[in-house]
Amino acid sequence: MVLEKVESVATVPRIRSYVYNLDEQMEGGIPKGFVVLVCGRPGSMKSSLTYFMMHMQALKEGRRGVYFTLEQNRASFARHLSHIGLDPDASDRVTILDVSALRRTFGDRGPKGDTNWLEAIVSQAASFKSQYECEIVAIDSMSALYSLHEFQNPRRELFHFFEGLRALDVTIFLISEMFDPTKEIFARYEVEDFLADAVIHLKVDRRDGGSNLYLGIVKMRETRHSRDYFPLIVEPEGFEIVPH
Amino acid sequence: MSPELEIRLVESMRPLFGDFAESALQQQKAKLGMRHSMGRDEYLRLVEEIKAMCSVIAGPSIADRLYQGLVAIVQEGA
Repeated sequence: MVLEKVESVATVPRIRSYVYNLDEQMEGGIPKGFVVLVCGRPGSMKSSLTYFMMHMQALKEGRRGVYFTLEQNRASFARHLSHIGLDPDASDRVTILDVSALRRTFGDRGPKGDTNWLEAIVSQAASFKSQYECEIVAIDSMSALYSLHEFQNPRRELFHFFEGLRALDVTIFLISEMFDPTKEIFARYEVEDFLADAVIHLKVDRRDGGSNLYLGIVKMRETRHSRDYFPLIVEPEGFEIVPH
Repeated sequence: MSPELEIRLVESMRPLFGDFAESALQQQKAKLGMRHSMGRDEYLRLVEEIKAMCSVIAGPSIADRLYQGLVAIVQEGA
């Protein structure tokens, strides 16, 4: 019985992060089909890390992905990625989809003035998957999405949002900004980390005029993972954590 | 051209334009001064414009894939 359980855990298909030394800390990668919250304060490289993982999956394993950017425009994001050595044109398998441009052109309320953005983004991701066969979806950011959606009952609506995402049967990265520097609140409504299958937390430690990044796996279902925070290094060759 | 043609074009645009697919198509039609009773060549001009718009929001590679699909729909509808 125990042996069977161990085998089933070991055979969960996983998506490698390609962050050097990280996959070893989580049984080889993120379980395929998980909804992953990537959270941190401004400047913690949430978007860059997420795009890096998608970029490497495309280059090394041919997996297609779509990265929805709700506030930063595509050109600006692409320039930023180029500065850290990631060329968005190196692979046509990751599409950066500039929802901010659509918002600027057509307005935030949608064509009929009553767009439910939580449903609309899930529906668009489903439509993208159906036509272009993607396996990874990123939504940047949750705060931007929340600014477009008028919640009546956040807990209930977010439950259905996460279930809708999970039903897509792709691996999802949700980028979540943490605003309160005094608290470890991973997302605005404080239920997102319960609803997500995994939480990756990026910390910025600013002291003595310096700034260091740390990465911690706060939660990852179906995975024996380290709960330590590791120094995160960004090199021209890619991201790397330094194990203890 | 078949009245269903625009419905097929909009559906094909939905993965990239989401809920704004129809608005994007109508906006490009208005920009080109197109009204009812459009012929094949006008639709081909229209999909060129949609490709250019898509290139801005999603990049040239996927815009090209969308364009190929839209052209095929127009050719089938001709």
